Amino acid sequence: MLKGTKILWLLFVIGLFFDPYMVRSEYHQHLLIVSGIYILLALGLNLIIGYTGQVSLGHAAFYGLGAYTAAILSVRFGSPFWLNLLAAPVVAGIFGILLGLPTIRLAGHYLGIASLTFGIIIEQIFLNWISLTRGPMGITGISPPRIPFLNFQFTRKSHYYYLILVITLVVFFLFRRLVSYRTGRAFAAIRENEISAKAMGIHTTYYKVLAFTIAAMIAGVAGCFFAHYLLFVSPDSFAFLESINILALTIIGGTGNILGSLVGGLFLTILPEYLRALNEAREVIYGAMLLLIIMFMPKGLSGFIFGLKRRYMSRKR
Amino acid sequence: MSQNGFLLEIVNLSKNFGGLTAVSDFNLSVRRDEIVSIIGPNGAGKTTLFNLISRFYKQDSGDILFVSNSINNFSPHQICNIGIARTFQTTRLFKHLSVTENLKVGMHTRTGYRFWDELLNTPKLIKTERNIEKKALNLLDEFDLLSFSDEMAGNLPYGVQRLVEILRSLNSSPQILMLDEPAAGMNPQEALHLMEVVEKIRKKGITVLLVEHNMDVVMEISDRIVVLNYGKKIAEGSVEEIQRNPEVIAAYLGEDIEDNS
Repeated sequence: MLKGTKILWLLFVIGLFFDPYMVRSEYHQHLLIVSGIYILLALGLNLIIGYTGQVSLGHAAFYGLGAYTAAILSVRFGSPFWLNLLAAPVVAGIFGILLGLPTIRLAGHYLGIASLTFGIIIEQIFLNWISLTRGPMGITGISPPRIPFLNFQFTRKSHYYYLILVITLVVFFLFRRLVSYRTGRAFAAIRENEISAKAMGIHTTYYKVLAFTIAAMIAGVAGCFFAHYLLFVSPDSFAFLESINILALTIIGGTGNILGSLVGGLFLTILPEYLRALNEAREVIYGAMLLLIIMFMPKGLSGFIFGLKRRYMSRKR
Repeated sequence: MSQNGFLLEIVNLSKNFGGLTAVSDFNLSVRRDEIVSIIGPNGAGKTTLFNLISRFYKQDSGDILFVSNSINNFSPHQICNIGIARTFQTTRLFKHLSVTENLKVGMHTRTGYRFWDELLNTPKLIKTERNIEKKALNLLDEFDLLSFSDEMAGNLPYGVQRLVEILRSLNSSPQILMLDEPAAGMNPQEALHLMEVVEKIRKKGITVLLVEHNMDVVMEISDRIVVLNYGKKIAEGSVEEIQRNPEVIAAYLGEDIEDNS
């Protein structure tokens, strides 16, 4: 059973590597690139919500911090993408700790409000610290990634496609390790019963801050890629509504498993695009579809898939 | 071993909630390998005492010593590491984790590898994880619960849930295990089985501190009984001594001693 799943994953990843050869459409590649960014964002938020059972309504702030860190470093100091790919998660992670430490004692709604406020504060900083962020005008002139020594510059969509594919695969790999052993069990214990977790010797504050920090770092990576892909950042991209969007695709994809973030990121990036043909009705139908998914698949798309798999398995038996 | 031979010493411990005295000037010394039961009417302060020992509450005055060292400044999560484990009055299992996973969480403080071992899949991690798995399954086997190993804890029958919670705490290799009303809600057969389990735990050289309302269980397995009423210790002694103690009988039957005399 496990082997079958592994083979499916392997085929999926191989398929992804050959995708640009099969579908020679820049538009299609752009969609997958954007999906990649959202998969990373959903994965981070999934760690907070699905694995550790906490709330965060300001995830776009970390995404923005990563993007602005990369943009400012690139434009002001000519720092290359690869260096920014390290710096952006560090900065986002530090803010993750700064948000986590004072607010972690809060639970449920209160933590939600605190994280929401944090998101708004960061957005206001992007808007109003004009000497650093150029405010609503945004930052232009970010240099695209290049591979040193080979003198290879990222120009085409397919280049970026492979870049985000490799980044996402690495993050997936590390994430899976993170949630599978001692740390992962501590996260799950906190989600299931915090008092029991404490009695079992789990330093709950440490692990909750750790979850926030790692989620922030993953969002920082996504932000850095975003900045070097669009070559432009502005506060609009990291507004409150973006936090809600990330939250929606995390929940709809399904929380507490990796598949959910993958499906959520892919589905909710691609679905609205294919609804474009419907013109004005698009937003309504999109909203209705989300509502239906939440109503009939309360565990998200991944929960639904696992349910189908379980039914298939039991029938085979 | 401590200098005076006591594993756990509680000295002049007091705790008030507002104007309400939950525990008042309480003293208790527990030797290694003992089964000590704490009994008393509802609201006598038994669970408060457990919460004080496991540091979920901080006392207003008094000291708690473990192997002669004060644990007054410890946090709840540090208690497990030094060898004090507990269960809860209402089951607090990790409901959406398998029984084995629940037991593995019990080993949290006994897991030697570091964060980067997890990320890098080092041989140390693989070896340790294999041992954790083996240890959890062995413990389940020892207590005849192996058939439940892959079940989701929340789906188990109530009596089994209570046992799994005890095993989860036991899996942290404690020196002292505090059980808060383990027989609550159990049927007579399950309670009988529970007694065997506690006996088995003691045979492993683990001291048991028990809060329990089921007198059959208490009288059967205790080496020593402490009776609490209104936060005060009103009696302490062997099973026979407690059964004969008029003050205990009064507290349980609600009689007023002076009126009767």
